[in-house]
Amino acid sequence: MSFKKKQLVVFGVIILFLAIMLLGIVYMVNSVKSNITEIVEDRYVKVSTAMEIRQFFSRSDREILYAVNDSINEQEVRNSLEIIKNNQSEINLKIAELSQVVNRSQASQLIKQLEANYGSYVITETEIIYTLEQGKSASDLNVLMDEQRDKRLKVTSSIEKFKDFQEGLMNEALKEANETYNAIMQFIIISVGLVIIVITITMIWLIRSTIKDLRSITSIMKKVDFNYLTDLPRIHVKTKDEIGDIAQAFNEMAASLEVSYQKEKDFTTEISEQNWVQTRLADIATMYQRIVTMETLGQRVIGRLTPLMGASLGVFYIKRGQGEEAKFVKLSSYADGEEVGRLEFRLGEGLIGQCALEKESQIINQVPNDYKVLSTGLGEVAPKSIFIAPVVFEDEVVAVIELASFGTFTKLQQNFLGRVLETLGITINSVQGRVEIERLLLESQAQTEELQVQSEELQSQSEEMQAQSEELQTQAEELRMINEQLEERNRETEAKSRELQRAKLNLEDQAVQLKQSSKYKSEFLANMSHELRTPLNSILILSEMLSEHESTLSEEQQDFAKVIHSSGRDLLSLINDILDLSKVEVGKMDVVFDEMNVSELPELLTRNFEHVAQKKGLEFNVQKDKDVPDIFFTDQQRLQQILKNLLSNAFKFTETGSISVHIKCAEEKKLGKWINTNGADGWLEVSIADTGIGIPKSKQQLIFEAFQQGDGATMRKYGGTGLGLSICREFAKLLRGWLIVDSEEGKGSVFTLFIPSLPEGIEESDEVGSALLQLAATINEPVSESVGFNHEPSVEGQSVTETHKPNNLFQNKTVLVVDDDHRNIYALTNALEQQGMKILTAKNGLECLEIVKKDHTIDAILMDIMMPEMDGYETMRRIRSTGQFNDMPIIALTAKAMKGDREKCLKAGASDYVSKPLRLNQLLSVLRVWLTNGTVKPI
Amino acid sequence: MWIFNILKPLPVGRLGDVATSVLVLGGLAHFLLKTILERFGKDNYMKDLLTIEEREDFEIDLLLQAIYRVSGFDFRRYMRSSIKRRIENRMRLERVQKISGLIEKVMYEKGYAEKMLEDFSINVTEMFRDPGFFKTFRNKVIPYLRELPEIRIWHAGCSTGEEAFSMAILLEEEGLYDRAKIYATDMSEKVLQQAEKGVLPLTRMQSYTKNYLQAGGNQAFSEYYSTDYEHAYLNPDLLRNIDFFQHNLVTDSSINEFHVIMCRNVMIYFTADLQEDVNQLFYDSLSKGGFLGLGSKETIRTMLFCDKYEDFDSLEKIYRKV
Repeated sequence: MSFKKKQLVVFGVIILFLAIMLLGIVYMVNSVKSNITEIVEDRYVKVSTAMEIRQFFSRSDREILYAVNDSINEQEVRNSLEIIKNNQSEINLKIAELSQVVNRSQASQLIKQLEANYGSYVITETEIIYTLEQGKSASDLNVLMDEQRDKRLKVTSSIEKFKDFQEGLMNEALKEANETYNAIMQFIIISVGLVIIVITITMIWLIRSTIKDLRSITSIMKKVDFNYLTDLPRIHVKTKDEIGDIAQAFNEMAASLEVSYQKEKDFTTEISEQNWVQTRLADIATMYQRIVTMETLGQRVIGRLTPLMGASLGVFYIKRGQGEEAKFVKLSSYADGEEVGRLEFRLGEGLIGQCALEKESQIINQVPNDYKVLSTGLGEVAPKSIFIAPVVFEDEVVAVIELASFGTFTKLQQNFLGRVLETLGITINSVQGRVEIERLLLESQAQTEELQVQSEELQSQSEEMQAQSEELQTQAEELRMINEQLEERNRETEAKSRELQRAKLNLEDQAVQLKQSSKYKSEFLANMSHELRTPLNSILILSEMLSEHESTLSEEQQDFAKVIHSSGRDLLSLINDILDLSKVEVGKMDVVFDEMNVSELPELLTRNFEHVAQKKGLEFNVQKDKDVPDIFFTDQQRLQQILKNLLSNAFKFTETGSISVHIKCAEEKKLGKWINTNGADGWLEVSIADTGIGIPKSKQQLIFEAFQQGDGATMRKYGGTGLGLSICREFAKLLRGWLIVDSEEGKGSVFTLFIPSLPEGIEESDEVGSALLQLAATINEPVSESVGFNHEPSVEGQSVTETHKPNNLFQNKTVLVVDDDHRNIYALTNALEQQGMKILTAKNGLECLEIVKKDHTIDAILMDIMMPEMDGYETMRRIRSTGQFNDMPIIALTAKAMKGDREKCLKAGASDYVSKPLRLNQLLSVLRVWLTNGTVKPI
Repeated sequence: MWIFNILKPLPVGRLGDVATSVLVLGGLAHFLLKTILERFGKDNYMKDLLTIEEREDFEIDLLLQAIYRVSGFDFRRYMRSSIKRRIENRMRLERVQKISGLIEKVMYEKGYAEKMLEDFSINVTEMFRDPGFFKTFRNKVIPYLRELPEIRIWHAGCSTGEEAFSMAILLEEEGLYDRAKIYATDMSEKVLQQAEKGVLPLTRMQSYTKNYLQAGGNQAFSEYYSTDYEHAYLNPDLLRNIDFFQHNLVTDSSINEFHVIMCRNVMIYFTADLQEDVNQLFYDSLSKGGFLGLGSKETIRTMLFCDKYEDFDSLEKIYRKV
């Protein structure tokens, strides 16, 4: 029986019993109700009506008694009578009512009796009333009253009887109702007990029959382990009821749970594997970053991949070359010695090549025992399986990886490798790209730098060339200058000669007179060298002859001759010296720079002066340092002349002791303080030390001037012209050298000569010459006598070149000074003209523009800024705007205080600026910069 | 498959005779190769003549080796192209036909190696070279230097010192010169001697003035020099904090820690590999946050140093050590 049916039965029974019980109760309650109703509605009404009747009756009776016995007045009697009459009718009404409702025979008899009794009572009563109304007769009344008393008693008893009867009936009904109530109670107790029993039984039955199966199900269900849903228990219930269905459903659920759990498990495994793969992939992908060379890539890939794949040996082959040339070269390896493994494969060659050709991975699990070995510390083992996989990019194999393992490669590892290879292809490509880009970048960088190098080289070469061409330019410029000067001088001389011509015509008559003396002078000078020497020669020769011991002259006469001879020699040397000096100072001295053998010098000096030394009994030695180079470039003749002069001087002023010559290389540093040492190959230092009379400090400067000796007495004592040292110094200067003296009075002197070796000769010789010529020209007229006499000695420490060159830069340069302040113009003009510049002036911008327009010789402009009419900025802008004067140096003169001026100046086109107040040195420096033919690189 | 026919009569079949077969095969290969090469007339197999390029290259190697041994200056890691041109230039001047001729001169003629050194070192420089660089330096780098109590600047490869002078002027104008020290080095003693004098050719002064103005100079340039007819003399005061001394980037190591290193248009003469070494030297010699100034055509190009420097001003090639 199904659970549902059982329940239906059980609940049906219960409902049935309950219905029966209910019916019984309803019935019984109904009967109780009818009893009660009878009692309450019937009996009680009847009893009460009887009671009412008795009441009315007693009242009437009382009224009668009252009226009879105690009637005070008629009114009261009348009222009583009235009440009595009313009561009569009331009582009659009630009796009639009762008689109608009475349903029992005994009761109706009793009513009839009452009626009858009351009827008779009424009659009596009426009589009494009547009597009363008729006037009272006590006797009548007594009779009547007695009668009425009897009759009243009869009525009262009949009412009592009726009442008792009815009360009896009421008690009976009450008793009955009580009984019925008891019955009901009994019935309810019994039936409730019955119902409880029935329900209990059926319920027990119901519960028993269902709970057993449910228990077996729950016990099975409790056994289920929800962590492992692989093998669930099944419920074996054969019933076909709902429990059976539940079991069935449970079994089905278990089955599907098992399936889904399995699925989930599979899924989880798959996910974790994927996770593993993804993590490693991400690992490898991050590893790819920052790899810039294929070698690193190969090394890292194989180094990471091999252990991840559980392999013990791995090799990475990369494709090199294209098409037929393509081959796979071993790029890197893991746990592989250099000697193991082939270095390269061609496409289709070997398994690697084959793999590359087919673009398919291969796994070899049956590796022969003699296959490639894996080395461990202890020995060598053959791998169990080998995995060869191609790396494909854009359908082309770019690399091949070979892995060897002691175990086998799992599906996961294979899958992983597959995924790695997918990205590896792209990475290889991108790394190759990067390498290529890097290579190209480096190449282009190298090319850029190469270009820079070339441009610098070119620049340096062009600078060299520039320097050379500038040198040529300056030389040409100098030549031009000299030419100009010569031309000018030519013109001057022409003019002079014309003047002279005129003067000559004017002075012709005087000329005749003068002619003789001028002729004498010129002839004297012209013949000086020759004519004076000729007689001197004869005097010298003859006097020498006379002074010789073999002559026949007396000793005294011989002495005279000796005096004549020495005086003659003095005279000759004086003449020679005068000529030499004048030549030097006039610039007619030729200097020929050539090779000179220094090693011959000591010998030469010794030869020349040895006999003098012997004669005077002086010690004489010449010493030459070993490091002095043999070959020296200078004018040999002049050098020897200087040395000879110095030596003869030394011998002249030395009575006892020694004279020594020391030839050595000069230290350039030491020289630097006296002389510009540029351009020399080396320096020779010759010092001549004597133990003669010495020169007092105060005179040391004077001795180099012409006709000066220590003092007049000396001259008298030692003779000589006093020209020797002047000539020496002039010669030394000619040779670009210098002569110094160091002396102490009474102890001796040291003359030191510094001479440079100048393989190139002297560049400025012409200029020096011309400068000296110029000098000479001024003293041209009385040619000889004063030559050199009033020539000022050049200032100590200043070289010939330096004194003359700076003028050249400013010479004939035209500078336009633009300033509104005439004092400024005056000061600038004077200062600059002193430097040899030609100065134009403008008082404001407009004037300046006019001058610039007209005069094209301007070399530079000095531009004041604050000016009336047109200020410096505007002027510069106008000058530049023509386009014609873009290269014209314009130097703005700004007030230092105004900071913005600088930018404004530059914007307006100034080349440079100088702050006011001007310092002359700075101004000259700037002018030198801008008047030099500078090389301004275009920017 | 003709080779198998040849091999057939050989006793390869016999086991253990592998050595013999290898020898025979080797001999055969040698013979074949030789025949083929002879047939095609190539003498690569037994090389006894060098191509012109190879010979030249070899000669240059020897020349540089000779110079190195004689003078101690190593030009072997300089750009070959430049070295070659300089050598060719020298050969033209000396009317020497072969590079070997120069080797002889280097080895036997006194002072010749020095002459070659001068040829190799190209001393192209100018004051405020690439004015934009100095302008940027003034505007962007100086604010950082201002924070330092002491500023050390290294001009590596300073040549005749023009850039060091420029830096001195710049620092002077920024009021930093008194706490700055400029170390100017070059490998050539000769240019250093020149540099120490602070003398500039007058002819370049116009262009220097322009550079100075473009580099944002805020005084009159003439405040810094005086002139005579052919030279401009820098105010000696300007040289007070410049130290010139010899240093060879190829062979010498770091000399101090610097806040600024200037090495402009020097490394362009070096091979990439030498450049890397020098870059390392600079990196080691720079303080943290220090600046490296390169020439307008140069970069820190190797990946090795990219990360170590911040591109402080890529246009003017100013890098900052991270």
